[in-house]
Amino acid sequence: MSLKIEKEKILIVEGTDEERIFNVLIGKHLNNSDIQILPIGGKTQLINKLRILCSVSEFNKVRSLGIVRDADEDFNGAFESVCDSLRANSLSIPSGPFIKTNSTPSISVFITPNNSSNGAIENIFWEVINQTNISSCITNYFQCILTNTGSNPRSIYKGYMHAYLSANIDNPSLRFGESAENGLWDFNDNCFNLIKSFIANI
Amino acid sequence: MIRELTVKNFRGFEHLEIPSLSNFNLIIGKNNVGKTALLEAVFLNVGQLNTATPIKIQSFRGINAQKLSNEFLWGFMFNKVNLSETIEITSIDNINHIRALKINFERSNISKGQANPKINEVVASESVHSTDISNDVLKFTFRKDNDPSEYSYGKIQDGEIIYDNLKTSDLYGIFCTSNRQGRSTENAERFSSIDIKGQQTDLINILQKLEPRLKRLLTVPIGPASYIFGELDFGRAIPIQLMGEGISQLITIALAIMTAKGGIVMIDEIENGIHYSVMPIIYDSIIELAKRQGVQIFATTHSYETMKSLFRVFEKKDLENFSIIRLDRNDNKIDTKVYHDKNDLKIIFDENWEIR
Repeated sequence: MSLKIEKEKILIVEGTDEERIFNVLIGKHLNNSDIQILPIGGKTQLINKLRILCSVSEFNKVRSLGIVRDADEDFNGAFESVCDSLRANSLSIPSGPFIKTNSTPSISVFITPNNSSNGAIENIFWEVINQTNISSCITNYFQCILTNTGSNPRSIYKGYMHAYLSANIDNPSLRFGESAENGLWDFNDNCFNLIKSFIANI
Repeated sequence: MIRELTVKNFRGFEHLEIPSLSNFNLIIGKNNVGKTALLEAVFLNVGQLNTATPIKIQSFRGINAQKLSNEFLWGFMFNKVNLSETIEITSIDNINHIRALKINFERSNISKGQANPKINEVVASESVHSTDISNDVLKFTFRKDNDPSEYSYGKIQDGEIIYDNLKTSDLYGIFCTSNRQGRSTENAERFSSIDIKGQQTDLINILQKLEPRLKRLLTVPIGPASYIFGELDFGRAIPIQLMGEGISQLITIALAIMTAKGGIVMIDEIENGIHYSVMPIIYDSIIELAKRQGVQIFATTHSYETMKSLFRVFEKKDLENFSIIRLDRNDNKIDTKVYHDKNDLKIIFDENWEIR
């Protein structure tokens, strides 16, 4: 099946896990069918995929382009990297995350988890887990690992997510993206308000 | 090899520039954006002072000279059928030679009596009648680099089309139309010319990739036309057309390339009759043959399988020699997008991006 522009609003996400998460959040929870979600196969691919996207004949029909990527260990660097990719492809550059450009297409960028700190999309979901009793089991598990091996995963929240999903009673082998499709998350939780607000504004 | 092409006021092109062409140029785009017209522009440029080319390309489209008027015969090649404009088709080759062709109408300065009888060609039949009382002539102005400009003319006079100063081009160009009608005799003539040079085996080797039972080819005159027949393993020869549309297409393309050594072959709808499963092997043969003959190819397609097959063939050889050119209509103007970067092409076809 070919990859083509089908909607006027495009949301670029890092990979297939994010694609599945946002498909559920946007399509099912927000009941919004106006946004096409496009995974790019990793953050390093943004500059190349934007170049191809901009070259497609239907690109002139795109009114809004949203980009979501993880801050990882360097929130400022993550935003700058997105801006570099936009600049290289002659697209407008927003003055900051969550600020939409007044251009066609409009450009808006969300740096997960919250447009101001390091981390990843999993941090948002951790906030949900953190409201439950199971969170301490997970943090204790990783503390134990740290005590006994002297190290923890570089992206600890991704580790937390895997640990949380592995404790799922019905299906302990779910991947992050699949977890949303299996209804593990309550997107009505306030933790999702910021990302939902971003999506509504694309 | 043409490296750059500029087209002005021709068909739907007000001003079209293609700054980087390759040995193999695949032209894509939606309907009615000018894919075939781009091939025609190249054909005109290659033909230099051949004032008969406009009527030839019109007949490729199935429009024959039934009405002798400037507008009907030549007008439709002018952008917006505006005969007061000048068509300009300029190419620059890989060693920076410029070939500049201009086509315009101007007040007659030739008459039938003045035309050189040796190069004067009459193409109209007796049954068509002139309905044009204009004295305008179609004028071709051709200039190569800084050489002095040369001129040729076409004119309707006394119910006939007359040409003055038709000259043979120094560059060979062959146009393979998407219409299969009328190919037989041209193919038979080309086959005869390569057969007498002892190149039949090269052609058979290519055709056998599609029809392994093929043993030998021969030309057979039937009435005023000639046909190529192929002998199969059961000992009888049958018209090549009866071996299927794929063979018919392949022999047309292969004969064009073998005939146009060092020149340019234009192929409209290259995918015609070729099943997607044999595209890689067929396209590989065409590319290899073109490389051996030093022929540059301009081809159009609507087929994604064709684009992808050609990319995969070039990926194994040399992607530097492959470009995809998309024509887009934006606000009634035709723009181009050239895909030549090998990393971009790899992403496009690895992920099946729709770029047509």
